[in-house]
Amino acid sequence: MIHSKHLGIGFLIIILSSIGFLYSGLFPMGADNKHNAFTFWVLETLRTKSIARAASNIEVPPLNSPQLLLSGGADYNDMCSGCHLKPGQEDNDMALGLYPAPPNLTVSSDKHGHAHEDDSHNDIDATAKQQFWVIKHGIMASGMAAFGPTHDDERIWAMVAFIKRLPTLTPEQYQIITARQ
Amino acid sequence: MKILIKRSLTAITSVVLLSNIAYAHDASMHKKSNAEKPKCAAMNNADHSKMDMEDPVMLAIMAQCMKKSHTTDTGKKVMDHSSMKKS
Repeated sequence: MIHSKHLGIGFLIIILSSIGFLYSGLFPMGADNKHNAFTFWVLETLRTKSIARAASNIEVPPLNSPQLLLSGGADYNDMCSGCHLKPGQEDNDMALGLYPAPPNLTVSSDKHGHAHEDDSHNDIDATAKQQFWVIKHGIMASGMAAFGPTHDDERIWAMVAFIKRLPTLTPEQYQIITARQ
Repeated sequence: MKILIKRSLTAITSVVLLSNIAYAHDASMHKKSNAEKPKCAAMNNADHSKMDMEDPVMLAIMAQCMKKSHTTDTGKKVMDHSSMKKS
């Protein structure tokens, strides 16, 4: 009886302390303040598991059409390259300033600097599904916007098709494919 | 009568709002008056014999540069595709 009373008091203290911390404003909210290893692991695990589950039933259409590359390339250049870079770029203000850092999509998925669920970067289909889901729905509190409300699935798949070939493009090829005429 | 007018106004407002949402990010909305044109001259020095004519990237580049050569009459040299290989 005494034990359960102490447990209840302890639990109440934890809850009140947590609420006090929330309202104190002591949490460092700046993007230049990095998470500790535990928080980083929790958030990365949450992100990768959630996206892998949500994207698992998406059907990937054929992505090898040049028209998809042209449509997706122009959209990538307008909406994504500011954070995810262009061939020949190693960083820019957005890539350096955002936290978590946006992946550099001009390099292959095993090198672009963030965790993937299991070995999904080796599974082209799983990568395409997850890229489609992320472009459509965005990622909460990360700086990654949801483009689903303003772009139909066909245009999002075109961006996925372009991103798939992006690491193979030279700066010259990128300029030609992404130019709007 | 009042109900009919109210319903008509609601329907018209909904159609106007929905059509604005649908066209908010049409591809043409991304076009800028000062948008970069494809710099196809950069491909003139590429080794075309090593290019795969069925690669979607090469097909996309050809489509962009052919569109450009049809839309502008600059008299510049266009890509020689005769030496490209077929896979």
